[in-house]
Amino acid sequence: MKEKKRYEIGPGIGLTVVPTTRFKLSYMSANFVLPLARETAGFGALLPEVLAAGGTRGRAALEAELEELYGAILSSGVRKKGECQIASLGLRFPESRYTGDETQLARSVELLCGLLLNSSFSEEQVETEKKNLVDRIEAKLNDKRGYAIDRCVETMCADEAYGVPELGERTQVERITAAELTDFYRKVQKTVPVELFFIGSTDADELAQKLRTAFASVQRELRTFPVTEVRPAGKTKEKEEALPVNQGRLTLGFRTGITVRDARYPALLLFNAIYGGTASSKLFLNVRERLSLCYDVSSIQEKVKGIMLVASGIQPADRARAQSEILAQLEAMREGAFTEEEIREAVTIVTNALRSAEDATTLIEDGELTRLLAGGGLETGALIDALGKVKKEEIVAVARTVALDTVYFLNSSEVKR
Amino acid sequence: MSIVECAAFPESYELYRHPSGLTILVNENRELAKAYAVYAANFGSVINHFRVGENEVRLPDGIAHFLEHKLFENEEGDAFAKFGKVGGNANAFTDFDITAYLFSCTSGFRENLEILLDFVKRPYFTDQSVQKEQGIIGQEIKMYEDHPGWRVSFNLLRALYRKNSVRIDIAGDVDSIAQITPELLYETYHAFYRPSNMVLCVSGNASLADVLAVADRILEPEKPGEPVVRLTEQEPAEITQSFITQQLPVAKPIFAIGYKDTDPAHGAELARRECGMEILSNLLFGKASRLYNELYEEGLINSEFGAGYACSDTFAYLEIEGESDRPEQVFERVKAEVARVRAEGLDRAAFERSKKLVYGRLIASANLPENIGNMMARSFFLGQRYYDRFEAAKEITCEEVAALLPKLTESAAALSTITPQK
Repeated sequence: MKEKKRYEIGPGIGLTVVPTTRFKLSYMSANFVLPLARETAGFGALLPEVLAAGGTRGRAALEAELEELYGAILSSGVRKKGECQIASLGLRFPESRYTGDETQLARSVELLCGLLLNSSFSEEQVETEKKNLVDRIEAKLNDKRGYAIDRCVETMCADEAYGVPELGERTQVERITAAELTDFYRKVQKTVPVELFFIGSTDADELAQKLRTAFASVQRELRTFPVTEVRPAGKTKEKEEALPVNQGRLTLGFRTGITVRDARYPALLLFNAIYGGTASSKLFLNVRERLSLCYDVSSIQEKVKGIMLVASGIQPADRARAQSEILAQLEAMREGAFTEEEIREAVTIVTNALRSAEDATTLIEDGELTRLLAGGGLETGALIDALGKVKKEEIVAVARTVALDTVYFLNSSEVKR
Repeated sequence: MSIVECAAFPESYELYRHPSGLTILVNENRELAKAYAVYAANFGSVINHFRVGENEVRLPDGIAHFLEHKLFENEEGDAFAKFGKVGGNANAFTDFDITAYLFSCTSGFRENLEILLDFVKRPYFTDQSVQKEQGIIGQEIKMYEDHPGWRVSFNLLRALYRKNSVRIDIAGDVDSIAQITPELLYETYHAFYRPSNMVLCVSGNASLADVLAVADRILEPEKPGEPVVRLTEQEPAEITQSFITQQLPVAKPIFAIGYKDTDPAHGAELARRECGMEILSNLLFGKASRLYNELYEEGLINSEFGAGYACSDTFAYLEIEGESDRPEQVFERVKAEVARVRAEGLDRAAFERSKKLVYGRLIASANLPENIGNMMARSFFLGQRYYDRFEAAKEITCEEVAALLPKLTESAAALSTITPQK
């Protein structure tokens, strides 16, 4: 992989190009970095869906164009990164050396730019995409693990922007009109920072020039990224809900206060690997293998907001045992009950994960975007070097910083067999 | 050693018959950071009855998956922990017709491969470890019972198939796994985990020399033994039922529509059939299709709508999945559209586009070393070259695809739904 290149395409429009022949498909994405807020979340979530509807040519014609581009995959959606709502359009398409079609790159870039530059939406398209979005909001319930994690975060950060669901609220989405969304997009085009990415075979300078020309007509004001508030844990909150499910979902929310730009971040990654991030971690070996309480248990770090979630699926009757074991393993970490050997293993595992991420275009993009939003953070190579220098005391210190904030339990509302 | 080349684009893999009886396939790509290895047995959840010599064995549902879990553990503990020490990311999966053990790594490939080949060849089962696993897998089963997308598909298979064991859940159920004993696990292991019934596929940043440096040391020649004969029941052309439904906590009803292919193909012919059926499925139900856009605009479906062809040596079906407040109406419209296209024929321009899409999506699947390794293994067990499907997608004609239309028979179609539980 060659060195990445950064360009300023216009005021507040950044472009990151990673020129590489490593992949069979190129990936290009456009990301609007919106502040995550209750008043606008529904608009932010609806916007990429309507942009992806194809403008005046309509959805069916757009899909036919994508088929012509050898089944190029158009993705649209929102991600929550810290207290930012990232509204994105992305396009993955086979590189010309696999299709034999030399126009592939130019046509793909043109298609994505065309979708982004359309700023008037038809009533019909907006109504259809509203229904779709409402379905997706409601369908969060279908994935119980994800649902329990979302509910835990919403409880934990009830009075913070981070607690706002990135898909917005149903009632808000249902009220949005085509005129309001058009107006919203005009403001977004003018004032919201945009980050463009291209990962694949291309001449970076040529691509930057092409994009400069494409976006030259858009009037822009320079703004900075929204800032994420990192808070300490408060008094532990408990929330329980019930559904007619076979399995209970226990999700614990912690505050680490450590983000990707923090000097303690390498130690946090090692803490996570030893505590609950892998199949040889303390949570896996104890809650699952020793006590046989669950199939899945793991800890996940949010890198911009500085929180950690521990998620597990258990028999409802085992709730207290599972929770006390999860906390007991954290206590063991705080007391330094892990060896230098375990630290070395964690370094190899985390190094492997970081290197592996360089084999996936979407993960490269996500990592770059995370560092941009957090306003810093080590690049893969430097981060791997830093892992090797972390001392045991630093991991213990991280474990002592991690504080329980919220316990969420999705219980079973009926007794099944 | 022989080289298997792709006629569609410049790429190849090496095929090596190891003296142990194991076949090794290596798709080396030094541009990637990662190397991926998958060690697979030609044995999955659908095999539940076999004979070795005079000895006939019936297996409890879910044993292939149970064995997959248990193989990770031996006297020295958990193999996951060993991979952890050398930075490998290990996992395993069980499907209808394959059980696979795998890892990926960005350094220490040989050390990781040694752990993989070593633990798979040393089964170790005790009453205590079997009992412990019943608790863990019990929770895995419950997790899937709460997964509506999983349930709707498995219920569909029950509706489509009468005898074929593809109708049984891969992990079995809490009662069937309670019947599993260490003895039965050993018997199953020795019947199916023989080098000649397995394949080792490697893709990404590793070479055949890397593989052989370990394999030559670890693998032992297969012990001569009686051949294993798989016993199956003849699947009739008829389906079990045309409608099946279940209630679960979902927001909106979800559905799966299936067409049973009553005459599955084999070998390279199956790769071509699969490709033809994917093109047909995209023509009829893809996002550019007439039906998709009509249903979408009428609000009968949303963007969670898709179709694909699932196939193996012993079963094949087309499945269409989605969300709808009126799944029965969607089912009727699907059947009507198939009838219309059968009467009017395929649109040639749409065929050319679908062909491009299917080829491009194959390229997309080959963008990850994990997919390449898994697909090489699957192709090998089906008697195919991995590249057969890519070549078929370049060559296949509109007439060939049109000839597949009669496979979508109304009498072999079923609807499965999951409706909201209040």
